[in-house]
Amino acid sequence: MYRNVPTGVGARRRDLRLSPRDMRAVLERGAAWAVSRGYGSETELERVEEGGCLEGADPDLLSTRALERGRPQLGTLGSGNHFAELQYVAEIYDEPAATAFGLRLDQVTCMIHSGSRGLGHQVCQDHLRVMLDASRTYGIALPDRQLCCAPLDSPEGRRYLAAMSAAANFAFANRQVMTHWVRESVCEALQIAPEAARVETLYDVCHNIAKLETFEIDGRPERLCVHRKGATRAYPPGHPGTPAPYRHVGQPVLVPGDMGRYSYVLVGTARAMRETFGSTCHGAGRRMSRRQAKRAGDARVLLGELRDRGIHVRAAGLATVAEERPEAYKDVADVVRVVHEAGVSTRVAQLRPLAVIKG
Amino acid sequence: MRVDGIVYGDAAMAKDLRDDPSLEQLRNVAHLPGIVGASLAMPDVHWGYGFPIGGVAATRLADGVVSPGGVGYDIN
Repeated sequence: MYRNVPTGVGARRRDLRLSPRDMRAVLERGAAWAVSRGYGSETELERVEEGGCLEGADPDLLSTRALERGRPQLGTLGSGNHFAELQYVAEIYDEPAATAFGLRLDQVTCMIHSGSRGLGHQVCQDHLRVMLDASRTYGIALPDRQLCCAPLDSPEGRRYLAAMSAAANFAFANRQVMTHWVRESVCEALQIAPEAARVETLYDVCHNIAKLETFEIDGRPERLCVHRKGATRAYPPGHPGTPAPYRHVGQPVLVPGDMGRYSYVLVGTARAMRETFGSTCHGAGRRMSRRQAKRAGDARVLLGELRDRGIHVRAAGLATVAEERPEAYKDVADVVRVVHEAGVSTRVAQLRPLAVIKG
Repeated sequence: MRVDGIVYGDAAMAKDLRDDPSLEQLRNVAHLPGIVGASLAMPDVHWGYGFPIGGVAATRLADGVVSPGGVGYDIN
């Protein structure tokens, strides 16, 4: 896996090069582009939020710099908190949902956390400048200039959403490609055919996104722009946005923890629709800054400790390992307990790490 | 503030949050034009650019706004 999925700054595979025309198709079509190039199958797309493609994406709105940053980065994990982790199912809390998701005790899973890489970063940076001006143009009083914004019904607002959607599609394609490489890695390591390996997508979900979705407001359905910033969509059973294979139980929610403890699979609820615009938590949340975490101990010692506990880490840099040490994060079990008890998503399974690759 | 701010958390989290800048960010988000329901924070809330990470806000299509700070740099 570490050999097949490029990790860290500047890493890439020589067998995936994008022409400007490819780049356009990635930004317009998202995960479907990846599938059209042989990275996975059509049937996987229904297990991706919005089928792996946000409508209204406009590649022409991306700066040259954004495109330049993105082009060599499709099919790369990145650094920071991004990772790919082999895990096993350690606990099942909800049998019917676990069965619907294809999860069973001791099964091996892989969780991938990566996004739109430098391309999305550049899109954000480019549009913050535009939005600062727009806030003045439209006379929006802001308590913090970092909240700069534009009316949804304005050229600036529409352009941001179209550019952000293009970046989101890049992220969907990025993960689809890496998912396929993980599948190939499993087949390679076990020397089995892909049909025998049955490495299939459980779900692929966004957690930093603004999307137009429909919710009931004062008894009437209304189109809203839902900002989820470090929050995951958690649609209930029966919702048309919940993929067909899961519609009787609800949408799967993936909540990564830290590399030493556990991650969770949850399921969306009707209560989330009423209370949180169909949203729930997205992870553990840091309790130490990156700098604090780096000073908290030697990364090599940490790697040894994790290895003794059966967790193998391969990372492009030791600094990232130190920054991402388990104790730098809050206990994700506490976070999950709160959303479970509040009923805005409920526990399905706990996954524990076996091997982690990081940038 | 146009709407309330709501944090999902337990007693220990509430104590930790008391002096956390993410709470002020949650309040700031409640000022956005067209925001409906509440400015929400999930239990993994912490400081982010503009919006707190772990923040959720919905705005009306007709008179609401979209803010890049509500998505952040790591889009999707």
